Amino acid sequence: MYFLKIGMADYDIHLSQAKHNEEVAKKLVKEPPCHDWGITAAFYAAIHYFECWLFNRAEKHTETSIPVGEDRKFLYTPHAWREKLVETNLSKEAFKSFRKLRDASETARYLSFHRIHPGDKPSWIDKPAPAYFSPEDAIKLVEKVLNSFKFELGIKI
Amino acid sequence: MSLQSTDTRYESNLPPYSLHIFNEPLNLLKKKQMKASDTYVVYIPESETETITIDEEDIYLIPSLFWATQKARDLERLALYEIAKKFRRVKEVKSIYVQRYGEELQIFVLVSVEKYNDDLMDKLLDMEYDIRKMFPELVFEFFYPPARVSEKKDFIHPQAECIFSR
Repeated sequence: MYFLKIGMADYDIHLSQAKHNEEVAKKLVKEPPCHDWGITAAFYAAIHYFECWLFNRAEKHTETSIPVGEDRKFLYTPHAWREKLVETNLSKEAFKSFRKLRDASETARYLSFHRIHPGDKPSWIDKPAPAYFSPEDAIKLVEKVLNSFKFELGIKI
Repeated sequence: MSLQSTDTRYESNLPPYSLHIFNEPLNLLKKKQMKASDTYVVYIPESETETITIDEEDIYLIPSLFWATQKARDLERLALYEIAKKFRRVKEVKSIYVQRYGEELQIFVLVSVEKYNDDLMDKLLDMEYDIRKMFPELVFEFFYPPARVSEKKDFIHPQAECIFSR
């Protein structure tokens, strides 16, 4: 039998990881064609900033506050539960900023976009994530949207 | 176009909504190349029956997956109806699929775009926020995969159900 020990980062660790991810994001968005990964780094900065904010609330951590069913299984995924916490505890602006970063990072990483079915057979087109998101899009997501989320959390920009 | 009889088993759980079932092939479904043998359920608010036009551009399909008899599921059916109703107004929304993960509803809103569109995301997220506030008892995950102009489902589970398509 294996026991999984999950080390929960405390406030300071979340904050330092958030800052690190943000720095990486700022660098990557200014280095096309790597700017798409800047969006993902920005999303993971947003997650850590939020977990930092949540640490002093009743929930403390997203993962440890997910409701469970009678069978003790999680009812929701961590992402879904975190978004519920963002939506119910923060402003609409904060919610939109967080969701915008998550959705963009999902598209940038998985890019189901480039797998298109023009006919009966799947075909691949030569337009990966760096072409879907312009460098300007990525810079805006990092410098404007992430900053907006931080502002709503009360974190000094 | 004809709607078949109302299914009274569920009607009582859905005031002020009534439940109508297509159980015969309709021209509009044939045009969409859907299987004529499939059964689709359409929820029409009684107050809006006169204003909703069911035609090629305006189809609400709530699949049988969501026929669950529990009352808790009624709320989900209503939420799916509201989702389809809201998002269909955005011309870039091509189709909407739903699948369940645990107790959460995962909503895939396929959008016909070739480049990231920040204004479109603002519009979609405003709608998503409204839906979440309308149904605080439910937990959602929304996804907005860019699907350009072709239908694509290779990233959506085969059991996911289509609730809107144009």
